[in-house]
Parts: sequence; C-alpha cells; structure tokens
Amino acid sequence: MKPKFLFALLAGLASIALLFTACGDDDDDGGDDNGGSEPAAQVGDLDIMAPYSRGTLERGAVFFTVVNNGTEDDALIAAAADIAGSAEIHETVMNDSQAMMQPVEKIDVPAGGEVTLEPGGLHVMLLDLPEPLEVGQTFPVELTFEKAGTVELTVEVQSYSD
Amino acid sequence: MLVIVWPFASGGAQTPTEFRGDEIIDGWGKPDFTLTDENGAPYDLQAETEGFVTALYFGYTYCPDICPTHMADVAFALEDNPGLRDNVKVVFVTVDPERDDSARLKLWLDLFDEDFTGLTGTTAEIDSASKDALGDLWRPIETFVTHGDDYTVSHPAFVVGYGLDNRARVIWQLGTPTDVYANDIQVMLDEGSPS
Repeated sequence: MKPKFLFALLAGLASIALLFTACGDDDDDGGDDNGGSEPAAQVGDLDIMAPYSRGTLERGAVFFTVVNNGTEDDALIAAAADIAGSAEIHETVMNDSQAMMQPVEKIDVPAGGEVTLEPGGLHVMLLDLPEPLEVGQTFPVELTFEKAGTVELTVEVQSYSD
Repeated sequence: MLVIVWPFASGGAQTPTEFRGDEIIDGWGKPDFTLTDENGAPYDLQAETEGFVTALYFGYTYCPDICPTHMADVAFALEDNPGLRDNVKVVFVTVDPERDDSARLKLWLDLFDEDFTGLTGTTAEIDSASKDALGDLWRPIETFVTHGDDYTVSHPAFVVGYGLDNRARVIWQLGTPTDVYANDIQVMLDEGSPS
C-alpha cells in the first residue's frame, strides 16, 4: 500500500496557475508585486499593503503585506485590535503536508524587502471575538514595528471565497 | 507568466477525464469507522457514503486559516456546480475533540454548507480513524499550547477525495481552486463504481 502521487505535468501546472489565482483573488494587489497600488498605511519606511481579514465564530485572522523601503531591517513585534479579546502574531508551519500553527515573537521585514502574511503562512490572529466577523465589516488594527513604531490601519472582512 | 487554458474549465461542454488535484495511484480503501456526527448521532462512514464521492478532511474549528479555507473552497465548488452536489458527501473530522463537540461542529460547518457532516469522538477513536483514512500520509496529531489554556492542533493540510470505488483517489492541497474540486469530483462520478 504505497501511494504514489502522480505529480503529472497537469498537476504541476495547475499548482502554478493557482498560485497566481490565489494572489489575484485576495485583493487588487495582494501578491509580491505591489507596484502601482496605494499603501493602506505607512509608518517610517514601511508600507502596509492590501490588508484584509477573515474569520469564523470567535476567531479571525488578519493578512497584509509589509514593504520595507528603507535601508534598515525592521520587524513586526506586536499587533492589537480592539474588536478582539487579544491579537497574536502566528505562523502556520507546513511540514510534510501537515499544518501546525504557533505564535512567533516577531516577523522580520528586511531592508529593501517585503513580507506577506497569507493563509497557510503568517497571520495576525484575533482571539476571543465577542461577535463573529461579518463580511464587509471594517475595523482598526494596530501594528507595532521594532524600529518604525506603531501604525493603525483599517481592515475589511472578506469572504473565504475572495 | 504562464497562461494555461484548460480545455474543460468553467462550464465547457467537454467532459473532464483527468484529475487536476494530486492523483493517488493505487490508493487505500475508504476507512471503516463510526464516529458521532454534528447532531449527536452515530455516523458509519462506509455506510453513509456508499454510492457517493466523498471529500474527507481532518481539522478543527478553532483553526483560523487553513480549515475554513478548505471548507469554503469545497462549499463554493458545490454551490457553483449544483449537478455535483447531490452526489458528494463532505465529511469534516475534528482533531480537537476536547473543544469540538457535535454542537460546535454544527455551528461552524453551517457557516459553509448545512449539508456538510462534522464528526467527533474520543481522542483514541479519532486517532484510529485518521490513521485508517490517511494511509501513508498519516502523521501524529500534536497540540501546541499558545498561552494559558489555549492551544493549536496539527492536522493534515489537505482534503482526501474518495471515489465511487471507495478508494482514495485524489489529494486537494490548500489553495486548490474551486473548479479543480469540481473537475475532480466530476471525474470520479463519471468513472462510476467498479461493479
């Protein structure tokens, strides 16, 4: 009983195609190429791009891209959202097709680089929401960076189909 | 960027014949287990899903990104293809029975599709069920305490598709587009059962 996966050309191409689809679906510009779209928020040399949230029942997650236009490395070290009981920075670690989510102390944003928080990877986790998030609802989230400091941005709740 | 035009994408007249998820060659048999469903009733997987294509997933309702994404993708695939809907059973088995009782599973799954089945049981029952269901892809379920009494649980980040032949045929990884789910379900329905 040794299953062999047929990672056929078809499947391989499908994966590539879906990567693009996933980026395009999240927002106008949720992918690696943030050229041309306006930052949702700015602090110091950092641009916060294309933030959105999703949630079920009392849990939610916030996703966005941070672009570091500066010459100094920075890092996201804390997040807060009044809408939730608490907010934490989490990473879903994929290992051997198994997913495990765990808190991380910080997310590095290298000088001249960018980092994207997205499903299956990094996210700001919202815990103990008194009311479930509703699609279309907006709420403020505060992000604190090691060097650039704190910035507030407005996040819209998206459907899981977006 | 590669532009790929699928001959059978989105409503084409052609019948799909190839899996677009990760096809499993010589897949294992559909597991034989009975757990408790979202209404608190016993659910015998083999009996309840006989004659249906079955999408089986192991996750937990406190999962913020992967589990709801998978369930939403399957739900939208069926919503977009009502012809498939009556021939598919979607079964979500919790890996977190401590928090996911029947009522909780029902509340959560109804966010996606009221016809989805949610199963819970004892830790030992779920451990055994997941081993039978995942073949060589099974890995131990681990918990990770985040703070206080809150914790996260590891789980497979894919849905297993069982065909009408009651064998594991395809793996749908995170991010599988809804039309790929629909395509692969159609492939399995067209194959029919071996009898």
